[in-house]
Amino acid sequence: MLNFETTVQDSKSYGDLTLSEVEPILKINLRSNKREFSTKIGKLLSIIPPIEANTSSSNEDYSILWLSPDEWLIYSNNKISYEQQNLLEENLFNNISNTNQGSVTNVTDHWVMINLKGSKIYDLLSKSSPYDFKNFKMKKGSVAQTLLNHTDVILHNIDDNNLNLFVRRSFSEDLWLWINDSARFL
Amino acid sequence: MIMFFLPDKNKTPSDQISIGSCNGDFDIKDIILNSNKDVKTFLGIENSSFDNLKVESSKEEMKRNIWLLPSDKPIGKTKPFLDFQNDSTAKDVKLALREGFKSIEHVKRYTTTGMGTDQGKLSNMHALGIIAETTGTNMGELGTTTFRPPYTPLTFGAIVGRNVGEFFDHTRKTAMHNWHVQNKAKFENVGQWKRAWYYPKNGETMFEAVQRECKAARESVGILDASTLGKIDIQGTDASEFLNRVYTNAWSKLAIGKCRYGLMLNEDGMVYDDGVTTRLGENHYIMTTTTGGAANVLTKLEDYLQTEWPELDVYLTTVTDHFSTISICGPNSKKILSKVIPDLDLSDEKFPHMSFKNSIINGIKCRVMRISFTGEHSYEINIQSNYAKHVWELFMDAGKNYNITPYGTETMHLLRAEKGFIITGQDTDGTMTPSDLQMDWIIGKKKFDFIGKRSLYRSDTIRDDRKQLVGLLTDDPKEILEEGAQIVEKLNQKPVEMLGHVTSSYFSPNLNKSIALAVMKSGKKLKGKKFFVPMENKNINVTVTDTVFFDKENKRLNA
Repeated sequence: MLNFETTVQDSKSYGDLTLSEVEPILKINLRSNKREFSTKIGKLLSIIPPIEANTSSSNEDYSILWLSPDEWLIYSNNKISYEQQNLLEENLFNNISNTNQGSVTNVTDHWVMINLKGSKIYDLLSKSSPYDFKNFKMKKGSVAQTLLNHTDVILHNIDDNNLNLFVRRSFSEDLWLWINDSARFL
Repeated sequence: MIMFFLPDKNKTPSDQISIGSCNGDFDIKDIILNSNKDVKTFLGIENSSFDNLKVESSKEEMKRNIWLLPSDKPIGKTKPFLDFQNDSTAKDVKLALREGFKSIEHVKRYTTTGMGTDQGKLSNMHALGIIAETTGTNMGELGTTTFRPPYTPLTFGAIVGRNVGEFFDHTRKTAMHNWHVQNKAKFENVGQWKRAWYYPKNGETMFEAVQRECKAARESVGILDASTLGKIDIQGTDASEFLNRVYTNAWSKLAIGKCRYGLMLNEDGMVYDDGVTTRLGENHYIMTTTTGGAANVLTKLEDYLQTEWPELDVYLTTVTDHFSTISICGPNSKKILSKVIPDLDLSDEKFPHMSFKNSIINGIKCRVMRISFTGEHSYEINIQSNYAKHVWELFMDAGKNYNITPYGTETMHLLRAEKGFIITGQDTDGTMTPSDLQMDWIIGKKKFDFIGKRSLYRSDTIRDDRKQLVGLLTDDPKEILEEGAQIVEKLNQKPVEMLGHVTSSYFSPNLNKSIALAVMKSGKKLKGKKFFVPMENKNINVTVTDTVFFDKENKRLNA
């Protein structure tokens, strides 16, 4: 097996604020505007892709984030092995892409997932995001696609003062430095 | 009388009430008594210790808002500023009203009041007051303008970023970045990417390092981190038709497992981007774009799908960061690949040039493309980024006995220039058609349509005297031209006519002479003709040649 090497490989705490990379997590991009798509995903994953903008649906194993009217990001809620990732990807690809119900694209290594926990996470994000987190932080499951320190990020509110941040792999080291630098001043 | 906006009780959250001035009470007596009453109602209690409180306060009998300070001068002679961000004045608002703009939204647009970053927080109330007074309207009836972002306060960080030291600008790094650092690579900024530029050894200069890397790639094997190329996953039943419309050449008949080079044009017929696209399945392709063009190409294609061709069943997903790309080239590249992936049949029959195979390296899936940007026998290995550094190290280890040489972007540029391959953005500048690049072969003459097709047949785009891509050789083979230098024919003519300029220039160690690509007026007709490249202290004699300098028969692709 090849060595698995992510970019951050770190966890840091500043007061009650905790930052940590969570990998390996499966991430799959779904796109479709077909009617049967939601039903198929429901059968395959026991979870229906949300149709309301900036929301998500979750079960014990997976979360599906709404990205646009025909695009979603699935990620596993727990760390899973490479083999399990492959099985799920192939299952989805065979049932969605190969039956012309939409597209299934593995983006596992495209995104790096960083978990932010603590009462000051929104103070941290607001230091360099133009997004108004007022409604986002009050609604569990909310999804936001915004800029953080001028870098594209996807944010998923998984609980009170607890969110997952997705950033493109190539930007992740840079953003991790910024997050740590900013967290020092909270 | 005092006027104010009150919170809309229907929109106030159930766990909140407004009291005091926020609720329209400004007199101390009103504030205390009304607050007591409202709080009791809110809390659902009947009595409070303030119930019998007697409050005495001086009653303000007369209150009024002053929207515009009085002046002994006519308003036309004064500058009563309303909006401190846009310098609009009360005079402007009054002029807007005289011009017939009654709606607050129209006054806003006429005067720019409230259009600044504060979205009228400083100015709108005064503007409304002046309009109400002037027109005799109730302020409440006028309403407010639409408040747009950033109406909610922003941090300076959100606007400008930290911009200090290492945070001055973003850097994007490939999965192999740390290996490049450890091996003392010099880096080049390409967009926000840090790309390995060259790898100096033992105090080499850049020129010396690049010459060594070029020789190694042609004589044995070179390895390049090509991960920064844009990669777009294309799926859908109309994927082939989509590519037909996007690229100038034909895609319908590309077999599964084959790769094809494509040129993408703007609507004006000028070259926009290029890259190799591979057919992975019946309705599945992976497109590569230039590094700098990746984001723009994806945006453009998504825009076309949503607005121009909504009938197409096509889905795009960027996978630029998901896959890292390792390119190995040179006569020994096949031997090294066979060491890293022993199970893969690399024979020319099973794995010919411009084809692709799915494979596995130590349990991890990868895609291997046999494509070449150097003219050498070459492979590109695409693997999930989190495993890519280890794969790179496997190749370095497998190539030890073959003097495998990591090379950077400078050597890549030189190797492709020897073959006359263009770099979009270096040899093109948004004014070059495929024909200008002497790439007429890539235009599908029988195709019904593609982006930019109509523009290719305009009178201006078929002119013979357009600037066209040519090769240049200096009379003195050691003389290296400067990129950007002008090319002239008659030195004594005033003003001197500039016929074109050098776009790429290098000293080729494999040809042992200087080579250059240039664009020149009527370039296609100038082969063999002599010109001058005037420099500060001398004039360099050059001869126009073919754009391909090395291995014109492409024999090395299958060597």
